[in-house]
Amino acid sequence: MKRIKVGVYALVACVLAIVLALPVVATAQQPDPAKARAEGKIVSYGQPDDWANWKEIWQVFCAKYGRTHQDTDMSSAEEIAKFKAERNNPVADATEVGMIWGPIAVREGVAAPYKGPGWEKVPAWAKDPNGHWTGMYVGVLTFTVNTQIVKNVPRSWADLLKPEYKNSVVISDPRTSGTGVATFLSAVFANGGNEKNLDPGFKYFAQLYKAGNMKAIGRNLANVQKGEAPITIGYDLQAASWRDTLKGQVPLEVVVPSEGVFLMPGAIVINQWAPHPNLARLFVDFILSDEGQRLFAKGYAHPIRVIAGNLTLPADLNPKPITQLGSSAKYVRDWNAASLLLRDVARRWAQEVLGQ
Amino acid sequence: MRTTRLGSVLGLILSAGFIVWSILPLVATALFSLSTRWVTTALPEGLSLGSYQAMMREALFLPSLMRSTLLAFGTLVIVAVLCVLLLTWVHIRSPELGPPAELISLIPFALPWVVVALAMVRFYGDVYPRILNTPLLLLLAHGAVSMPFMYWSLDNNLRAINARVLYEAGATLGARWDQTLRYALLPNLGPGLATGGMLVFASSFGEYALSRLLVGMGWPTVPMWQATLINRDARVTSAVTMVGMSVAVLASLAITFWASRLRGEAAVDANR
Amino acid sequence: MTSTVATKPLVQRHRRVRPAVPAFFRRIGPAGVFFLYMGATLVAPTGYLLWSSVTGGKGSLFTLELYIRVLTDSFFLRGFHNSIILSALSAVESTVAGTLLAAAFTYTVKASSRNVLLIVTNVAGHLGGVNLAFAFVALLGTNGMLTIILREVFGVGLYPEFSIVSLTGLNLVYFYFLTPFVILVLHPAFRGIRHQWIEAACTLGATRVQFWWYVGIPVLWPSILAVFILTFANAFGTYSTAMALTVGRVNLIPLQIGFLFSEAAFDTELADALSILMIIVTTACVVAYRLFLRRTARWIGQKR
Repeated sequence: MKRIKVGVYALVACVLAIVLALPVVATAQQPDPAKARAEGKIVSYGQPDDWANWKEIWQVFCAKYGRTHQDTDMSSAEEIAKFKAERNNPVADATEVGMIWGPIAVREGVAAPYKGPGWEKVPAWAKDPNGHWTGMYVGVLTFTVNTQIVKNVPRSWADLLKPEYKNSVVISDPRTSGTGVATFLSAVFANGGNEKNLDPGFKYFAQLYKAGNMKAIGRNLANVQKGEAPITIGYDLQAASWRDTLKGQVPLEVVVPSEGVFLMPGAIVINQWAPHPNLARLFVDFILSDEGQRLFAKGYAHPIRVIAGNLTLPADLNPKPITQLGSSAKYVRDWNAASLLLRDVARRWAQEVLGQ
Repeated sequence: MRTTRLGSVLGLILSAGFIVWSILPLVATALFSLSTRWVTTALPEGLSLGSYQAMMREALFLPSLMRSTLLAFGTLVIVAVLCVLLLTWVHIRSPELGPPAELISLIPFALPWVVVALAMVRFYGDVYPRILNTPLLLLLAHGAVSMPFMYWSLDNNLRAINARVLYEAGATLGARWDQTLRYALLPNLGPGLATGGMLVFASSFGEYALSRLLVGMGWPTVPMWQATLINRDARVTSAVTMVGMSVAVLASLAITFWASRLRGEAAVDANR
Repeated sequence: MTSTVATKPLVQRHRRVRPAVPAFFRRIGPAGVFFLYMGATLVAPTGYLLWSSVTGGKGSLFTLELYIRVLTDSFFLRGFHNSIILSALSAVESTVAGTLLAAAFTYTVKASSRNVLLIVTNVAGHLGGVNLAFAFVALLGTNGMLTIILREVFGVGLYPEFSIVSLTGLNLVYFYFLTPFVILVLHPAFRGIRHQWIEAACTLGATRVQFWWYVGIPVLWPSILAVFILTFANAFGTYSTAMALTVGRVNLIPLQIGFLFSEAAFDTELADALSILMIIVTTACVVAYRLFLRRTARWIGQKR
């Protein structure tokens, strides 16, 4: 009697184990390199050449698999809208979205889950538990100051409110730019808020606007090059590349605000209807591998695995990272809560900050 | 026409003033593209052709120029044919088609073209997905959104030449509609086709939103190529703008030339 | 028309010769190609927008909830207000300037230089979107070419009272690219003013002003009105130039639509509703155009 009972328990345990393991097995779906080689070129959205060293990353990846690559830059919303609209004749395989768009991509049903060998190495706060979206690298929000125009370089968010910076601070609008969203979030965290309490951010920018310090102009390289943007707020990886590009023309200093380091990751999403799914998965594996992550560092981005602690970069890295992450960096932990931000920011920004 | 002295002088001053005003932004762009450094000074600190050299070294330089030019001329042909057929018919036979045609021709102006692009992608994604992400779709889209530019200048032209009277004169002589079109109307449509054509070409050549969302980098046009340079060096971006201007000038010359030949051809035919 | 010869009436004879095509197709004729083409490429996707805005995009019941939401929201109403005022102002300015310039080109410039002028006009109107915004920033920004020249050579300080990124600045930029448009679209209409009329009027003792008031402008009036409506619609729907220049500092409806599928919102149905409302505004323009044309018909001496 006892042996039968044990036998039944064992059988039930086995069945349970198989049933529970199935989802894991299903999403593992190891890509087949042979099939990948048979697939055509890999197409991505939102990964322009001059951002975070995507150019070299794609070059190395394509050389590995003998395929070609094509990318078209667009906003996160456009990428998701296009994935959905093209489902009957898809062309794109993967896209980079702002982290707060990961949950939206899941909700719209356009993200394919995938957990490759690199997935484990990404920290839990920077990925979707089911593998729908995964952070790859982070950027730090910094001030880029044109030291020819601005003699007294601001060192903190509080500094920016000073009257000497009237009509000098240029930010990206959070309604149209991922950098703008990150800028907003970093001000939120710098002023004591978090992803569930955005009020400090709105208050801060309303102050900045009322003080007349927020210059009404687009944040782009052209305006910096032309001397129209004395102080800009953006990712350190872009600040570094602008600083290099404008060497000899415009002297730029990159400043991390003294309130602390704020990190913002970029997420990769694989198209549910990807025409080249194997290539897409191999690509995700590649960018989470040691080699891929190191290539991000070459573009001044901070590889996510360095934050997680399972990858160390050589001390003599060239080029040197432009900011040090330190140990007390702040970042969003609950991206689902943060994505609810999307419902409010557009309206609240217009009304509370711009007074429209 | 004899104008008063005052009239001529005023007219010339106005025209000259307008020309100066028009080229100011172009001068600023050109100066920036030629500058070595231009941050806080009234004029660039130095000039160099470096950004033009960098631009011509770009792999996409010639291919995108060819694509945009081809696309713009293709758009021009589609729009010209459709508008001529429509407007001559409306002016001559069925004026009641005027209001619906006017409304349809204004839709591209009413909507931001990003909206049009996404609407097309979503609509064709459901109805005819095979056409998505093809240059053909982009050509058809350009034809549709450039329609207002040709429509209204041709409309003005036909109204000016009193098309209905010409048609009736031809009809009493036994001409069919298409004969009237070819021999009586078309030779007089030079101005409308020329100015409308210039506008259509310029609009199609410089169009960005539809190119980005309908085909993207699968078929890069000049504005798409220019967008890839935005974060590299803004002077090269300005250099591309100047190149676009030059193509617009050349195309306008060609279009004006062809339009003026319309009148010439008819004169030849009449003397046969 | 009487005839002693017992033949069938002309009309009937023609009817027998023509193929039996339904009246509808005969009325549409070759214009049908236009309607088919625009129907497939533009009207159908617009219809899709309409459908999406009234069904929430998921095929649910017909609902006007989105429209009510927009029309009762003072934020969007302010956006419509700003857009309409900006477009109307720009349209009036550029139509007046464009008409005068088109007249100047036709009557005070030699015929040989006219084409050159038109080509320069077209090139000026070619700049658009990001390029135009940057050109004006390079010209009238805080460190712009004209700003510095005005400050240092003429002692005129534009800033801080003026900013190129404001409704005023936008008005200037709109004026810049709309005036060439008006000139080019209106230019063919001047062919309708016959030289013989001018000379006849002069022989009868009319001054030039009288000629233009009683003959010239009435003849051109439908075209001028059409161009005004057109310019208004053009300005109303302008998105890329406004976005590139102001990045949302100004509350305009096309920008609000853009924000709904950019980086901080994802509401395609609301965007569709706003777009349909924009089309409704434009339709109102066409209707107003037709009505105004009919009301002034007596003045311009036409039956239409």
